[in-house]
Amino acid sequence: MKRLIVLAAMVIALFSLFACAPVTPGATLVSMTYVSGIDSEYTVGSDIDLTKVVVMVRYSDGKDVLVNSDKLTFSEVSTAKAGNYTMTITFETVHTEVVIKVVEEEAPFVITEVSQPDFVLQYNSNIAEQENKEEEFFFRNDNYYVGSDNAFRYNLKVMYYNGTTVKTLETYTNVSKISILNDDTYVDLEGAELAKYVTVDEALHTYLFTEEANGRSFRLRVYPKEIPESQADKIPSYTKTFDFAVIEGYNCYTAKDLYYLDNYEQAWMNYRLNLGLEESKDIRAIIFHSDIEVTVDDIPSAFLYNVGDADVNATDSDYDRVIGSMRDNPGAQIYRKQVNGVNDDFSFIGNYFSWDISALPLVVRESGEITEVGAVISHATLFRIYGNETEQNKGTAEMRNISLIGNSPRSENATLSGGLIFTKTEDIDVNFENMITRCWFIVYMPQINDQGNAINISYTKNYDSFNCFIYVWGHDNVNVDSSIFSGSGGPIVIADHVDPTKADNYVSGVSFINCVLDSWVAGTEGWFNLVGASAIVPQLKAMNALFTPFGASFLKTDEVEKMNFVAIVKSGSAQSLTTDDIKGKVQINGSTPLDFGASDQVLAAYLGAMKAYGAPVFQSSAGGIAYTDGATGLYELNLMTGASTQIIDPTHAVFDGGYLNMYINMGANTGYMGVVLGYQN
Amino acid sequence: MKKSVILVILVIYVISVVVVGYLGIKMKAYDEVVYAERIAVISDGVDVTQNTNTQYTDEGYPLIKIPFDVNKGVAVYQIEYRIYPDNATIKTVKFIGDSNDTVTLDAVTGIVTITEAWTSVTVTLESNDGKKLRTTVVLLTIIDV
Repeated sequence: MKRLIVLAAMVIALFSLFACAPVTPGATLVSMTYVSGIDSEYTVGSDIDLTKVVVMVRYSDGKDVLVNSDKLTFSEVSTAKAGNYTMTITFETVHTEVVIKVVEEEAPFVITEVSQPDFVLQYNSNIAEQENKEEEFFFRNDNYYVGSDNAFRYNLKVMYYNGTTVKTLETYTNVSKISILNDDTYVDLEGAELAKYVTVDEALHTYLFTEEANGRSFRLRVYPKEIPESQADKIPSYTKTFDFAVIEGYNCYTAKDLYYLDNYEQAWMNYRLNLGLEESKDIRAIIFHSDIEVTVDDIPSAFLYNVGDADVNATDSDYDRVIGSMRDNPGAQIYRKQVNGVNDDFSFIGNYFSWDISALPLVVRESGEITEVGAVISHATLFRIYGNETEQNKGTAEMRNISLIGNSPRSENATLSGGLIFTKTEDIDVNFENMITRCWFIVYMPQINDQGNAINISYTKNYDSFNCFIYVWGHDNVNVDSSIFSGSGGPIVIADHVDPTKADNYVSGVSFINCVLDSWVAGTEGWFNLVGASAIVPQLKAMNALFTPFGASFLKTDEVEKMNFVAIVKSGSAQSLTTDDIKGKVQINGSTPLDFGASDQVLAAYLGAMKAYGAPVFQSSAGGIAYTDGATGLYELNLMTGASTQIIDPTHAVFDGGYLNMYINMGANTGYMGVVLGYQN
Repeated sequence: MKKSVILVILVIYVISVVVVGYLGIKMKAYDEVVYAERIAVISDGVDVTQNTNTQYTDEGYPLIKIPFDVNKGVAVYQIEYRIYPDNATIKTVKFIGDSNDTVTLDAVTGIVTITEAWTSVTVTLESNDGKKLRTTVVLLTIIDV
């Protein structure tokens, strides 16, 4: 045994001696083998450290020798771009090749973005100063409101990079801090104090405020709990803050949340029940938390014509158009809010978001009857607010801080006459304030006023309407203040005397204070053809020649002759122009109103005298009155003698003022209708 | 009347009909507002949605990777876009996104400045014509493209 051990040791020693044995003089290099010192991969842009590279070279005498990097040369390899590259390592006359692998820097799970919820970003954008002033609200500093009827949602946008693309962190937990505003100081809420005002669900990102919170202001600070340790220093940057005031109201995030807006229509009650929702809810306020678009998928199908409906047959001449179109029942609307009780109030708080119904279909059948293409006069209404018609209603409704987008812009395309009316109101005081409207068939339609109510429209901007902006249907107390009306296809206001056969029955009255009234029309727009007003336009325009010699005009030429069509007061007995004797009032900035002589006995006398001749009568907003025989000029009437005197004085008051009231009729002994045009002098 | 004169009149008449028909001269009563129908984001001169190499986030937004200059510590990117139809009345947009310590978004010009690598910002372009047409892109700074 002893001999074996000694023998093994001698063999190992001999081998070792042989390995370290110097290379035989004259032996030549045969080959090289890479041993170590190069990493398995390098990231793009990194340096390749070759100082630890070791290779083994073999000589022709069979000896292998290790060679360190200081005796080696290396071919150039760039890490600028990911890929596999060959590096040649050379020692004297031998070389070998190794593959250098260059890869993109692998991003670990890393949060790339924590941003405010989309609704906050949109809100901030909506209240900012706008490049297009038509989009800018008059007032942009009202509170942001949150309702206490249902939960307020605050979903941060949390994004991370997975090595390929950016993904949304679907499941994360809020870490919230809520403070209440006491005087001018925010005080953090915790424990019982917090529970008094709000129930927080951090996982669902919801905050359900209590009645105790109504009328109070709060500050919410939130960051996502899932921020990796490696990014913990970014928590302050990732913490988002939001201030708001809580009121009693129902929070709406999508069109689905508007299901409870209507508290009247059976169609909605059935719709809610079919969806497993409550049949109804007593809601005192609707509060928007995003731009909301309503499509046909969001409303009961009963508002549309559907295949199989009892009043639609495949043989109908309009069958290909009517299916899917909006129903047009004069008494109907998509959403009806009944404000019932004494001291009952309702608020519609837009929080500066938009209510967009531009995707809803047009009316094809007027009042349910097959109607020629382009001949529809729509009655379909998006939102109707009703008071209680059986008792004196002390409640009020308000709508504010909202942008409204309809489906019927001003156009020569007459099919757009089937667009929606935004709102009708009846038997209730309503205040519309700080709103922007666009593309409605009609925007506001105040209706008969049995309860002595007032409709107030203030600080609104209204654009691009197919028909008019305000259609007053027998409401005598419509007050418009500090608003802009620009670009309707017809007049800005249509005011109907609903039933002229009964002298004072539902007479309309509108007052404008400090408004921009700007609706330049040529008379060939879709509205004129629709209501049969095209025929009188040439006659109207022709009368301008009576004024131009005196430096006054109600026309301007801009490719074609246009007039600023402010208002028309007519009979409500027909949708077109009639010969009824009517009453009504349109007044601008407290100047001489168009009121058929109700406030001016002299004007009343003129109208009485000229009716038999069918002669138009004019009264400027400065009060000057004249009539014309249509041929030779303008005349004053001596009410005592009945004599007429031609007006030749250019300083006559009839040539003064910003507006010209015209009383025109359809022929001798027919009733006058009133037209208000913008006046230049 | 000489035949040549009649012939000239006829020729002029025919030419007039052709010219008017070709040019489509029509007196419009007023200029209708033409609203934006599509907002295309342009990257490297190409509509990102038409580029088969475009990556998308899981929400379906085009992802634009922008190189982060490690030496300068910043990435600056100008979001380019185009409004369709070509005769849209208003052809500008506003840019909506969240600015913070490391991300600055100019709401008017669409210039995005990011001072950190591996940082994303979601930007929504919204038409300025009042109809609020929107499209969204995500920008991500990476080190070397």
